[in-house]
Amino acid sequence: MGDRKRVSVEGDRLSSLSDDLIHKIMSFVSIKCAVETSVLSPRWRYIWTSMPYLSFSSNDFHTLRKFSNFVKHVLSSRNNQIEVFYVDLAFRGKVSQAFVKRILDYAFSHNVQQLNVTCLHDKKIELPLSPFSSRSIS
Amino acid sequence: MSYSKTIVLTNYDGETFVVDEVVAVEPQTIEHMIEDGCANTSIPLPNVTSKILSKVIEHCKKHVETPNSNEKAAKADLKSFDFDFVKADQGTLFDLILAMNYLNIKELLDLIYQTVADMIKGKTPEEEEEMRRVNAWVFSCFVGVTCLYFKSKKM
Repeated sequence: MGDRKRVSVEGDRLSSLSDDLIHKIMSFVSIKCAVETSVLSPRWRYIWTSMPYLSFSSNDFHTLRKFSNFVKHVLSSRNNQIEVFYVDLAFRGKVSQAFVKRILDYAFSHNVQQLNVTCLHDKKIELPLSPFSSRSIS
Repeated sequence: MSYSKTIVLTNYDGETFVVDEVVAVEPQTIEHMIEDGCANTSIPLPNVTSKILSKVIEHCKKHVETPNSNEKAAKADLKSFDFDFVKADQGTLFDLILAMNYLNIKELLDLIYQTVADMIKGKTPEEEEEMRRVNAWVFSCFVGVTCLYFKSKKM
Protein backbone atom coordinates (compact mmCIF):
# COMPACT_ATOMS: atom_id res chain seq x y z
CA MET A 1 0.00 0.00 0.00
CA GLY A 2 2.82 2.30 0.91
CA ASP A 3 4.49 1.75 -2.43
CA ARG A 4 1.37 2.37 -4.41
CA LYS A 5 0.77 5.60 -2.58
CA ARG A 6 4.31 6.71 -3.18
CA VAL A 7 4.21 6.05 -6.93
CA SER A 8 1.02 8.01 -7.44
CA VAL A 9 2.39 11.18 -5.85
CA GLU A 10 5.96 10.80 -7.05
CA GLY A 11 5.37 13.08 -10.04
CA ASP A 12 4.91 16.32 -8.18
CA ARG A 13 5.33 16.20 -4.43
CA LEU A 14 5.25 19.96 -4.02
CA SER A 15 1.85 20.42 -5.63
CA SER A 16 0.40 17.59 -3.56
CA LEU A 17 1.17 19.36 -0.29
CA SER A 18 -1.75 21.13 1.37
CA ASP A 19 -2.20 24.87 0.79
CA ASP A 20 -1.10 25.85 4.27
CA LEU A 21 2.17 23.94 3.91
CA ILE A 22 2.81 25.55 0.53
CA HIS A 23 2.09 28.93 2.12
CA LYS A 24 4.64 28.23 4.82
CA ILE A 25 7.24 27.29 2.23
CA MET A 26 6.43 30.40 0.22
CA SER A 27 6.72 32.54 3.36
CA PHE A 28 10.46 32.11 2.89
CA VAL A 29 10.39 33.79 -0.52
CA SER A 30 9.13 37.27 -1.38
CA ILE A 31 5.48 37.72 -2.30
CA LYS A 32 6.69 38.58 -5.80
CA CYS A 33 8.15 35.11 -6.24
CA ALA A 34 4.96 33.66 -4.75
CA VAL A 35 2.83 35.53 -7.28
CA GLU A 36 5.08 34.31 -10.07
CA THR A 37 4.27 30.70 -9.19
CA SER A 38 0.71 31.31 -10.40
CA VAL A 39 1.84 30.64 -13.99
CA LEU A 40 2.77 27.06 -13.15
CA SER A 41 -0.55 25.26 -13.33
CA PRO A 42 -4.20 25.58 -12.30
CA ARG A 43 -3.21 24.19 -8.89
CA TRP A 44 -0.89 27.17 -8.42
CA ARG A 45 -3.02 29.81 -10.07
CA TYR A 46 -4.60 31.16 -6.89
CA ILE A 47 -2.49 29.72 -4.09
CA TRP A 48 -0.74 33.02 -3.47
CA THR A 49 -4.04 34.88 -3.07
CA SER A 50 -4.61 33.19 0.28
CA MET A 51 -1.05 33.64 1.60
CA PRO A 52 -1.18 34.92 5.19
CA TYR A 53 2.44 36.06 4.92
CA LEU A 54 3.21 39.15 2.88
CA SER A 55 6.74 40.31 2.33
CA PHE A 56 7.20 43.27 0.01
CA SER A 57 10.62 44.54 -0.94
CA SER A 58 11.37 47.38 -3.35
CA ASN A 59 14.66 45.63 -4.13
CA ASP A 60 12.79 43.29 -6.46
CA PHE A 61 11.82 46.24 -8.69
CA HIS A 62 13.65 48.77 -10.81
CA THR A 63 11.56 51.74 -9.80
CA LEU A 64 9.49 52.63 -6.77
CA ARG A 65 6.56 53.29 -9.05
CA LYS A 66 6.59 49.71 -10.31
CA PHE A 67 6.97 48.52 -6.74
CA SER A 68 4.00 50.51 -5.57
CA ASN A 69 1.86 49.34 -8.51
CA PHE A 70 2.77 45.76 -7.69
CA VAL A 71 1.84 46.19 -4.03
CA LYS A 72 -1.50 47.74 -4.96
CA HIS A 73 -2.17 44.89 -7.34
CA VAL A 74 -1.36 42.28 -4.70
CA LEU A 75 -3.57 43.92 -2.08
CA SER A 76 -6.52 44.26 -4.41
CA SER A 77 -6.23 40.77 -5.93
CA ARG A 78 -5.62 39.00 -2.66
CA ASN A 79 -8.45 37.04 -1.09
CA ASN A 80 -9.98 39.59 1.27
CA GLN A 81 -11.40 36.93 3.59
CA ILE A 82 -8.01 35.56 4.61
CA GLU A 83 -6.32 37.16 7.59
CA VAL A 84 -2.74 38.34 7.41
CA PHE A 85 -0.28 36.85 9.88
CA TYR A 86 2.70 38.98 9.10
CA VAL A 87 3.67 41.85 6.86
CA ASP A 88 7.23 42.70 6.01
CA LEU A 89 7.66 45.92 4.09
CA ALA A 90 11.09 47.08 2.95
CA PHE A 91 11.75 49.98 0.63
CA ARG A 92 14.59 52.22 -0.36
CA GLY A 93 13.83 55.81 -1.27
CA LYS A 94 10.92 58.12 -0.88
CA VAL A 95 7.42 56.74 -0.98
CA SER A 96 4.25 58.59 -0.20
CA GLN A 97 2.71 58.41 3.23
CA ALA A 98 -0.54 57.38 1.62
CA PHE A 99 1.19 54.33 0.15
CA VAL A 100 2.56 53.20 3.51
CA LYS A 101 -0.74 53.94 5.17
CA ARG A 102 -2.60 51.87 2.62
CA ILE A 103 -0.45 48.83 3.40
CA LEU A 104 -0.69 49.35 7.15
CA ASP A 105 -4.45 49.83 6.99
CA TYR A 106 -4.77 46.62 5.02
CA ALA A 107 -2.58 44.80 7.55
CA PHE A 108 -4.52 46.05 10.57
CA SER A 109 -7.91 45.40 9.06
CA HIS A 110 -6.76 41.80 8.50
CA ASN A 111 -5.59 41.30 12.10
CA VAL A 112 -1.87 41.33 11.42
CA GLN A 113 0.21 39.92 14.28
CA GLN A 114 3.72 40.78 13.17
CA LEU A 115 4.73 43.89 11.32
CA ASN A 116 8.16 44.79 10.02
CA VAL A 117 8.78 48.02 8.19
CA THR A 118 12.29 48.80 6.94
CA CYS A 119 12.87 52.11 5.27
CA LEU A 120 16.18 53.21 3.80
CA HIS A 121 16.06 56.92 3.11
CA ASP A 122 18.27 59.89 3.94
CA LYS A 123 15.47 62.13 4.96
CA LYS A 124 13.02 61.73 7.74
CA ILE A 125 9.86 59.89 6.86
CA GLU A 126 6.78 60.20 8.92
CA LEU A 127 4.85 57.04 9.50
CA PRO A 128 1.16 57.02 10.23
CA LEU A 129 0.46 56.52 13.91
CA SER A 130 -1.71 53.46 13.45
CA PRO A 131 0.87 50.77 14.45
CA PHE A 132 0.65 51.98 18.00
CA SER A 133 -3.07 51.72 18.11
CA SER A 134 -3.36 48.23 16.66
CA ARG A 135 -4.98 45.60 18.84
CA SER A 136 -3.96 42.54 16.90
CA ILE A 137 -0.19 43.01 16.93
CA SER A 138 1.50 40.66 19.36
CA MET B 1 21.89 11.85 31.98
CA SER B 2 19.58 9.15 33.32
CA TYR B 3 16.31 8.39 31.61
CA SER B 4 13.48 7.32 33.82
CA LYS B 5 10.97 6.06 31.32
CA THR B 6 10.76 4.77 27.80
CA ILE B 7 8.00 5.24 25.26
CA VAL B 8 7.08 2.83 22.48
CA LEU B 9 6.24 4.31 19.09
CA THR B 10 4.52 2.19 16.45
CA ASN B 11 4.76 3.47 12.91
CA TYR B 12 2.93 3.06 9.62
CA ASP B 13 4.54 -0.32 8.84
CA GLY B 14 3.76 -1.68 12.31
CA GLU B 15 7.38 -1.48 13.38
CA THR B 16 8.03 -0.43 16.96
CA PHE B 17 10.63 2.03 18.20
CA VAL B 18 11.57 2.22 21.87
CA VAL B 19 12.55 5.75 22.75
CA ASP B 20 13.46 7.46 26.01
CA GLU B 21 10.68 9.72 27.19
CA VAL B 22 12.83 12.86 27.16
CA VAL B 23 13.50 12.26 23.49
CA ALA B 24 9.92 11.30 22.68
CA VAL B 25 8.44 14.52 24.05
CA GLU B 26 10.43 16.69 21.63
CA PRO B 27 7.62 16.48 19.07
CA GLN B 28 4.69 18.37 20.57
CA THR B 29 2.13 15.94 19.21
CA ILE B 30 3.66 13.08 21.20
CA GLU B 31 4.09 15.26 24.27
CA HIS B 32 0.37 16.06 24.20
CA MET B 33 -0.52 12.38 23.75
CA ILE B 34 1.54 11.51 26.84
CA GLU B 35 -0.02 14.35 28.82
CA ASP B 36 -3.47 13.16 27.85
CA GLY B 37 -2.64 9.65 29.08
CA CYS B 38 -2.76 7.97 25.68
CA ALA B 39 0.73 6.54 25.98
CA ASN B 40 0.23 3.57 28.29
CA THR B 41 1.02 0.92 25.72
CA SER B 42 2.42 2.36 22.55
CA ILE B 43 1.85 5.48 20.52
CA PRO B 44 0.62 4.81 17.00
CA LEU B 45 2.04 7.06 14.30
CA PRO B 46 0.20 5.75 11.25
CA ASN B 47 1.37 8.39 8.80
CA VAL B 48 5.09 8.03 9.37
CA THR B 49 7.27 5.41 7.65
CA SER B 50 10.14 3.76 9.51
CA LYS B 51 12.78 5.52 7.41
CA ILE B 52 11.37 8.92 8.29
CA LEU B 53 10.61 8.02 11.90
CA SER B 54 14.17 6.89 12.52
CA LYS B 55 15.40 10.14 11.00
CA VAL B 56 13.08 12.12 13.25
CA ILE B 57 14.20 10.17 16.32
CA GLU B 58 17.83 10.73 15.35
CA HIS B 59 17.13 14.46 15.17
CA CYS B 60 15.28 14.61 18.50
CA LYS B 61 18.04 12.60 20.22
CA LYS B 62 20.70 14.92 18.95
CA HIS B 63 18.80 17.98 20.15
CA VAL B 64 18.09 16.49 23.57
CA GLU B 65 21.61 15.23 24.11
CA THR B 66 23.31 18.47 23.14
CA PRO B 67 23.56 20.48 26.36
CA ASN B 68 21.35 23.51 26.30
CA SER B 69 24.03 26.08 26.88
CA ASN B 70 25.30 29.19 25.23
CA GLU B 71 28.53 27.44 24.48
CA LYS B 72 29.59 28.30 20.96
CA ALA B 73 30.94 24.86 20.12
CA ALA B 74 27.71 23.09 21.07
CA LYS B 75 25.61 25.55 19.09
CA ALA B 76 27.82 25.28 16.02
CA ASP B 77 27.75 21.49 16.27
CA LEU B 78 23.95 21.48 16.37
CA LYS B 79 23.79 23.88 13.46
CA SER B 80 26.01 21.77 11.27
CA PHE B 81 24.01 18.68 12.28
CA ASP B 82 20.79 20.40 11.15
CA PHE B 83 22.47 21.57 7.98
CA ASP B 84 23.48 18.01 7.08
CA PHE B 85 20.09 16.74 8.17
CA VAL B 86 18.21 18.68 5.50
CA LYS B 87 20.68 17.71 2.79
CA ALA B 88 18.37 14.89 1.79
CA ASP B 89 16.85 14.00 -1.56
CA GLN B 90 13.59 15.73 -2.42
CA GLY B 91 11.41 12.71 -1.76
CA THR B 92 12.77 12.46 1.77
CA LEU B 93 12.37 16.21 2.29
CA PHE B 94 8.69 16.04 1.41
CA ASP B 95 8.15 12.99 3.62
CA LEU B 96 9.87 14.93 6.39
CA ILE B 97 7.64 17.97 5.88
CA LEU B 98 4.53 15.83 6.24
CA ALA B 99 5.92 13.94 9.24
CA MET B 100 7.23 17.05 11.01
CA ASN B 101 3.99 18.86 10.40
CA TYR B 102 2.06 15.94 11.90
CA LEU B 103 4.44 15.57 14.83
CA ASN B 104 4.70 19.35 15.26
CA ILE B 105 8.42 19.96 15.43
CA LYS B 106 8.56 23.62 14.60
CA GLU B 107 12.27 24.36 14.60
CA LEU B 108 13.13 21.71 12.08
CA LEU B 109 10.10 22.49 9.96
CA ASP B 110 11.27 26.05 9.47
CA LEU B 111 14.63 24.77 8.34
CA ILE B 112 13.04 22.40 5.82
CA TYR B 113 10.69 25.11 4.53
CA GLN B 114 13.70 27.33 4.03
CA THR B 115 15.47 24.54 2.14
CA VAL B 116 12.55 23.97 -0.22
CA ALA B 117 12.03 27.73 -0.66
CA ASP B 118 15.68 28.05 -1.67
CA MET B 119 15.06 25.36 -4.25
CA ILE B 120 12.19 27.42 -5.63
CA LYS B 121 14.10 30.68 -5.57
CA GLY B 122 17.35 30.22 -7.31
CA LYS B 123 18.51 27.61 -9.74
CA THR B 124 21.61 27.55 -11.88
CA PRO B 125 21.18 26.13 -15.40
CA GLU B 126 23.23 23.04 -14.45
CA GLU B 127 21.02 22.41 -11.47
CA GLU B 128 17.95 22.74 -13.62
CA GLU B 129 19.36 20.28 -16.09
CA GLU B 130 19.98 17.91 -13.22
CA MET B 131 16.43 18.39 -11.98
CA ARG B 132 15.05 17.62 -15.39
CA ARG B 133 17.08 14.46 -15.53
CA VAL B 134 16.01 13.33 -12.09
CA ASN B 135 12.45 14.20 -13.05
CA ALA B 136 11.18 13.46 -9.56
CA TRP B 137 9.82 16.86 -8.99
CA VAL B 138 8.87 18.30 -12.33
CA PHE B 139 7.49 21.53 -11.03
CA SER B 140 10.58 22.79 -9.32
CA CYS B 141 12.11 23.08 -12.78
CA PHE B 142 9.15 25.09 -13.84
CA VAL B 143 9.40 27.37 -10.84
CA GLY B 144 13.12 27.71 -11.31
CA VAL B 145 12.74 28.58 -14.95
CA THR B 146 9.95 31.08 -14.34
CA CYS B 147 11.81 32.74 -11.51
CA LEU B 148 14.91 33.03 -13.65
CA TYR B 149 12.81 34.36 -16.48
CA PHE B 150 11.27 37.02 -14.29
CA LYS B 151 14.58 37.85 -12.67
CA SER B 152 16.18 38.43 -16.04
CA LYS B 153 13.30 40.69 -17.06
CA LYS B 154 12.91 42.43 -13.70
CA MET B 155 9.44 43.89 -13.71
